[in-house]
Amino acid sequence: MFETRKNISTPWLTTCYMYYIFVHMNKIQNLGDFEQVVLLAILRLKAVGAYGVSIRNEISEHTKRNPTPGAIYTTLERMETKGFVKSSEGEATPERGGRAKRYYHVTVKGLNALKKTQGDYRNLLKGLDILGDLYA
Amino acid sequence: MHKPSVSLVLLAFFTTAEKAEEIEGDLLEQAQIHGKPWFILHVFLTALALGRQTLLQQPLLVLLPGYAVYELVVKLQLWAILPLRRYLQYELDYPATLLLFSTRFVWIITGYLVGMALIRYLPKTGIHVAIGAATLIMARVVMLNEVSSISALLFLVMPILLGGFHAKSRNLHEQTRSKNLISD
Repeated sequence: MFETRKNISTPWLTTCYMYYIFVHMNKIQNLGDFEQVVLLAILRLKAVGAYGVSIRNEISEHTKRNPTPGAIYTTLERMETKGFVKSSEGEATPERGGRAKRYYHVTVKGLNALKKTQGDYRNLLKGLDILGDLYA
Repeated sequence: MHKPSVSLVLLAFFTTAEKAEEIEGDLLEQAQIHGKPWFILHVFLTALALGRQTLLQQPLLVLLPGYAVYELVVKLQLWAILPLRRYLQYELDYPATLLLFSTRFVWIITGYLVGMALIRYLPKTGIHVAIGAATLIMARVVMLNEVSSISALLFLVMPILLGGFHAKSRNLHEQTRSKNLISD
């Protein structure tokens, strides 16, 4: 029915590449620097509800960073895929053009990853005199 | 769902429709302070950031349509009109041409549905089963030389993987789990 071809290398390489992308890379579960910042902001906003705007404001207020909305949404989407946060639909308001909010919550997996990463930082800082007595 | 705007369509191109609406809502809320130019700029920047992430995480979802456009525009090898070309070249009768076209169409739809079902009902092992099936199909095709490897890749393996990733990106397995919990 279809024409035959002799070159077999391309499909095999493509299959191996796809396997690496889809399976192996999905297992990488490290927390990046900005991911930690976003997770901490969500935890701080637990009482009032963490959504895109409030997370961005919280980060701007407590750090010297002024992240773009795009950076926030891509990080949230990536962490949701990894299972570090989960989201739920919230209420719509007139100033948002009637669009609903999406509230984010940190999962147990996210909290454990954050604790582990922060613990690693703490261990590395132990004995170093760069932060005064904070981690001495 | 609200009336789709240009910004919504642009954002929904790289994420789900619901999330695109919520992102647009967030940007509209901040545009009250920063103004309309800020809103337009950040719709583009956000779409760009989401597109870049999609390209990095699921390169095939971006590269495959790109390759299809390349094939269509540059090489003029549109697979859908291939039966018509053969009809003109070899003077095949109409039902044979139609059968060739419909067979490929059935392959694509079947592969896509199988991929979706695997992820939906086997959320943990589905991706391994899909990749295993894809590897077996390719191995059989290459060893027995039945059909062209490229044809098998395009019309069966890719639809399986695309169906699986579509199901995963839409969280269909979560929806199934929710329905089961409700019915329990």
